[in-house]
Amino acid sequence: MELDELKKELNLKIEDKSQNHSEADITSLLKKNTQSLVQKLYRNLLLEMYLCMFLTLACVVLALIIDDWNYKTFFTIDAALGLVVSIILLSLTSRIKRLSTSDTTVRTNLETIVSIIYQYAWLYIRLGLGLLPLIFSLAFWITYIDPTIVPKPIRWDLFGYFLVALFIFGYASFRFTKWYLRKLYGNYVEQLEAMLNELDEQ
Amino acid sequence: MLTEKEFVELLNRHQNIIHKICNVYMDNGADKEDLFQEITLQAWKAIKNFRGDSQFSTWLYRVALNTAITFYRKESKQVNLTFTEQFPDTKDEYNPVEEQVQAMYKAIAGLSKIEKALVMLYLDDFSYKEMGEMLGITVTNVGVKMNRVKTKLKEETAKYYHPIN
Repeated sequence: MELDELKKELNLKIEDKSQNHSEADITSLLKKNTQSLVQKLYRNLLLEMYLCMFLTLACVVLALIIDDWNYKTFFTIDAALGLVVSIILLSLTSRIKRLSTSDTTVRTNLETIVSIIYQYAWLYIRLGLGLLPLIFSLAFWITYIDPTIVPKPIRWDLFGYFLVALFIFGYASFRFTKWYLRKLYGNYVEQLEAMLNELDEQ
Repeated sequence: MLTEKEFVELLNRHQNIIHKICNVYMDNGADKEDLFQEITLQAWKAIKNFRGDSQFSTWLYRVALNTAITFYRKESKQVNLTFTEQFPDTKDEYNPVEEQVQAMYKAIAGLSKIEKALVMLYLDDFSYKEMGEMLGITVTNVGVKMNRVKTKLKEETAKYYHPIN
C-alpha cells in the first residue's frame, strides 16, 4: 500500500479532532513557561549575565574606592574581564531571543541552535573556568611583586607549588566543565547534527 | 501586531496543524500535551514577526515543525517502543482500509524527525518547492528524499499489514 493511496484517511487519523483545546485552554497555556532546552539555556544565560554584570559593577566600585594600588589593579582587571564576559553573554542571549521569535527554515534553525550551544560550551570551558586560574595567577603576581607583603629574596619553591596547584586546578576544572556540558547538551547536539547531516544527504 | 485575543482565535482555528504534528512526533498523551504547549508558546513569541507575507497556516506549520524537531526529551529513546501501545482506537471488526492506515501510521512512527516532517508536509499537499523552502533544502533533494521515504513506508507498512483473505 502506497502513501498516496491512504493520504485522506491518514490525514483524518493524524488530525484526531478529539484532542481540540478551547480558547480558554490556549489562553492559559500562554501564561506558562516554555520547556525547550534552548529556552532553559536562555534563562540560565540571562541569570548568569545579570550576575556577571553585578560582579563587574562591584569590581568597578571596589577599584574606585580602594587606595591600595595592588587591590586597585586586581579589581580593575577583574572589572575589564567581567565586562568582556557580560558582552559575550549578552550577545548569546540576544541570538537565542532572535531565534525564538523568528520563523526560519528547519536547516537554519538547527544550525543556529548548534552554533549557540557550541559558543556556550566554548565560553564556559575556555572563558568561564579558564578565567579562574588566570585570576588566581593575577592575585599571586600582584601580591608577590608587592614588597610590603612578600619578603625578598624570591621563594622559588613557593612559586613552584603554586604553579603545580594552578595546573591541577585548571586541568580538573577544564575536564569537569567539559564532562558536565557534554552531559547536559552532548546528546542533544549530536541529534541536531545528525539531522543536519540527514538534510544534506542526497 | 496581533493582540493576545486575536492570536488565540487564530490559533484555535488552526490548532489541527499542531495536533497533527504532536500526534506524529510524540507517542503518549502527556508528551503530546507538552509539545502542544511548547508550539503554542513558541508561536506566541514569534507572532510579532509574522508579517502576513505567507498564510498563517504555512507560518504556523514552520514554527510548529521547528519546535517539534528540536524538542528534546531525555526519555525520548522510549518513543518507538510505546508508540504502538498508544495508537488510537482499534475496531473489533476487520476493516482493510483501517488496518492499512494503522499499518502506515506505525510505519511513520519509525521514521526520523526529518522524514516525518516531509510526510507531514506531503500529506497536507505542500508542493516540493514549498517543502524545500520550509526545510531549507533544494527541490531536487526533496524529490530524492520523498522517493526514499515512500519506499521505506511501503516496506515498513508491509510488515504491519497482513490482509485476511
